[in-house]
Amino acid sequence: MSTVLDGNTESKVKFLNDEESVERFDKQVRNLLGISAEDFLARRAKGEYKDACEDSRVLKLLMMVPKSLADRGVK
Amino acid sequence: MASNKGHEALNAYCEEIQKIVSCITNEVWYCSSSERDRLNFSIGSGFFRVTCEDNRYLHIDINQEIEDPKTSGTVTTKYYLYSVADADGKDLVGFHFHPDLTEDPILYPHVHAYANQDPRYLSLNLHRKHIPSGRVALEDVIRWLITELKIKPRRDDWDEVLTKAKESFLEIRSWA
Repeated sequence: MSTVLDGNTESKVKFLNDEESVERFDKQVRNLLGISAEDFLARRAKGEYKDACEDSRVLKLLMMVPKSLADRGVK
Repeated sequence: MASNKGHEALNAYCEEIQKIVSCITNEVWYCSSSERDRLNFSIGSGFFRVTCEDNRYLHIDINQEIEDPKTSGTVTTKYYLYSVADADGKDLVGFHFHPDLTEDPILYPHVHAYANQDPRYLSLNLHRKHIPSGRVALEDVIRWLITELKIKPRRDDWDEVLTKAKESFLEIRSWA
């Protein structure tokens, strides 16, 4: 289960479990690039995202790849 | 004990980042384990919208990756990515640090100016260049957004919040 850590402000920190991390990552990839997480990782494996700094959406997603998804061998 | 120390360090970190971003948004931070066995923190669903004083919109995205303090006992920033995009979501400015990212390992903190619609910049491919910046604190980026890009702050005490957070950051940071 994820937990929410309340702070002194309206903003919060939500800690995601493995399943939630993968689900959120997939949603973000679809939202930002219009493809699935699996498709994103397949394109990455083909070297399509070299010079990632050119597009902050791609760079963000490369930073976000969840460990649980990488551990499944989807790289 | 290292685990207690790590837990305290993580709580303190979470409290700080919540306060800092609350100056411009009430979006939720999400934390997940990254493929590098670190903790990745990012905000909302990516590129949240903010309003400027003249009622223009900008989109902001904030990401940090830290060493898991439960292991190390302290919080160390390994990556950061602070992005500013226009109302249509096109990149304007990016503050980046990602020294061991497989696809684009740039060893130093840098800034991108996505000015490729200006022919002078395009001829230099400036948007692809990594302009050295030194480490840029999240507090400074938020302050810059408010004071120079004129994003409307969400809280009246934003100046005090950012000043205190920056003082704390300068005391505990392990690299600059």
